[in-house]
Amino acid sequence: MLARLKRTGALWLLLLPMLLWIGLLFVLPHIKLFLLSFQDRYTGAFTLKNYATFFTSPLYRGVFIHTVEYSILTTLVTLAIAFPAAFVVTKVLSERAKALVVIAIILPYWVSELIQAFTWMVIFRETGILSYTLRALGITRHNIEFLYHNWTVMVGLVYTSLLFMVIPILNSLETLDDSLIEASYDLGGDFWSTMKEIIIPHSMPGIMVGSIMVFMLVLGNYVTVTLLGGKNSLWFTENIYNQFIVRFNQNQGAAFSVILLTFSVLFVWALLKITKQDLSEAM
Amino acid sequence: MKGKVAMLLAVVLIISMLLSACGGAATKAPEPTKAAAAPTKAPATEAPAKKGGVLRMLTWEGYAPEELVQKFTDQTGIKVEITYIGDNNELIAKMAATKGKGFDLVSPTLNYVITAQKEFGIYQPIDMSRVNTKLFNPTYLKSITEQATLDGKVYALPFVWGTTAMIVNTEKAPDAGETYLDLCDPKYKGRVTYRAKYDTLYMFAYALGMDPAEAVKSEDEYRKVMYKVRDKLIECKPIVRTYWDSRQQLEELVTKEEVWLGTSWDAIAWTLSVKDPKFKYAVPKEGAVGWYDTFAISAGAENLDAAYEWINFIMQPENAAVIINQTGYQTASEGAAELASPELAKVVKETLPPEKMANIKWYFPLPPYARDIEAEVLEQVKAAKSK
Repeated sequence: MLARLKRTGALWLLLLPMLLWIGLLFVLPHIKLFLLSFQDRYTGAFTLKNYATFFTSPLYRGVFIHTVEYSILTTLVTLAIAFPAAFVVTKVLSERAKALVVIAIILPYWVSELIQAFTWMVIFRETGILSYTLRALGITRHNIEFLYHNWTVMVGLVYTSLLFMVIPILNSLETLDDSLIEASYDLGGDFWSTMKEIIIPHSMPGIMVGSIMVFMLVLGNYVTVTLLGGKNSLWFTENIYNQFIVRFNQNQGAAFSVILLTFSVLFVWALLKITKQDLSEAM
Repeated sequence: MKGKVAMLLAVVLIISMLLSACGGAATKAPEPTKAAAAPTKAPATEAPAKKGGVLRMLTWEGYAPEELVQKFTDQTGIKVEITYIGDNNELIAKMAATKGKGFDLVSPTLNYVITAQKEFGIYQPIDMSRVNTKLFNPTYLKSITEQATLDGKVYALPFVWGTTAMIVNTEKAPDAGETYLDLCDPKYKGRVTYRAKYDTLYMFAYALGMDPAEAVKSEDEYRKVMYKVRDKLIECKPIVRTYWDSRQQLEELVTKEEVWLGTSWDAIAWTLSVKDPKFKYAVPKEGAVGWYDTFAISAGAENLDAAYEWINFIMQPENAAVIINQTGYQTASEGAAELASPELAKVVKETLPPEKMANIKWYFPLPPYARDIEAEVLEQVKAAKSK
């Protein structure tokens, strides 16, 4: 049955909705974006000016570097939190407890990112819950403003991306046979060497997928960074928004978008090369 | 088990993504349930000219209170869909993307109407014969329609106006409010807020002794003025706590006493003042910055009848009074102010007496280069690093 369907190519029909979706809503707009980025704002003629603006302006470069730095940092922090959690969930907890923890990890995602950001504001503001609690416990004497710092933005970003790191790692750890870990100990390995030689190499595909997803999500985030960020946390996406919405300069905005997209693709590619992972294997 | 967990995760993930995507949408249609239930109570004899259809508006928060939308739907059978905007550039960008398709009635600020019409052609002329002009204050109607005329055609009607100056917590900062430069005073470090938007640029320009309304006529002049403002704002960046964006955000910052002074739309300060007199709307010696929001009809409007219907409905004094009471804004509706709450009228009179009214610095028409200079300056201010 399957063989006959394969022969007729009927199985391709199953892919059709997704191909249409991606083609119409992703590929086409990106081609348009790409073309726009090489056009002059007023005449529509071919130009590299929009890209020159980025590379010659310390402002846009600075904001871009800030954004990349914090995206990498956020990815690392998310990994540091997610990996131990995923390990405990797969290797230590009972099936029942496992289901509970997984649901606890998922639950916050039933709330939109906007609401999550507002919730952080209620917690972190000077007259907010955290500041109040610290004062009530006598730890501090004055209210403290936790909002509007770069690290506040990071807390929010880590929270919104945690799930995307936990799930792939969870999946890769599930396939790790416990007997391998036991064998490592039997052969004289301690916790760290087992971690280094057995567990991490095995879950590397999961770690890579998680890191790629989180990095991309954070790099392109807009809501969390604009709400939690203060006067000093301009994110590159806000520059793109400004070009499109405030300055009506679609061409400059398109160039910025292409730069961001190209950078993230190259970054991911380099990461896969360095860690000797294959995308098809990792996914 | 493994398969089941993965399946469960996939399903939950997809649902949550869908949910958050929906959460982000800004369009809001009022609950139709009540509207649908009402006509059953009132028999058909009472409904002579129900037009029906949908009116799609692009407007500011507070300009179409739920109570009035409900009343309008009950009276006319027209459903109302509202999309809110946070600034004029956003409005123009939304309209320009589709040449106005998708919206019938919009509320741009006066100084953006003609420039945007010249650049993008997003509005259509208003048919004055369909407007009940008796509902409008004649002075405002004449002055605004004149300023919104292009090639002999009128593109906007007066709706709501207001001023931007400062809000001061008189207990925490009793001396503040004489000049906009108080926003830069180190003694209020971390207790100041303003918008990283055009109105703040104008305030600082006036405070530094310049006249942006005059300078805007020349690109070079305007650039000079705005660069001076930029340098001042960067110098003052350590003083400001955060830039406010929405009414709700400013209200929280002020009422929780996280900030003691900031820029504020008059209506926000007035409504807070009525609740607690220690908050005051302060118009400094440089004068308040004034704006006039209008009705304009989209070039891509599909329900013209509904658009005119709404204008003639909302400008009736008893309806306009609802807007005044709920938001604190002033309207061009003749006789509405007399129906509004006396407490509000009192603070308005106290903080914006005739001599300060005469000194209002109205928003001026912005040529495309001016908008670009402002955006550039604001980007630089936001990107500047400070403590």
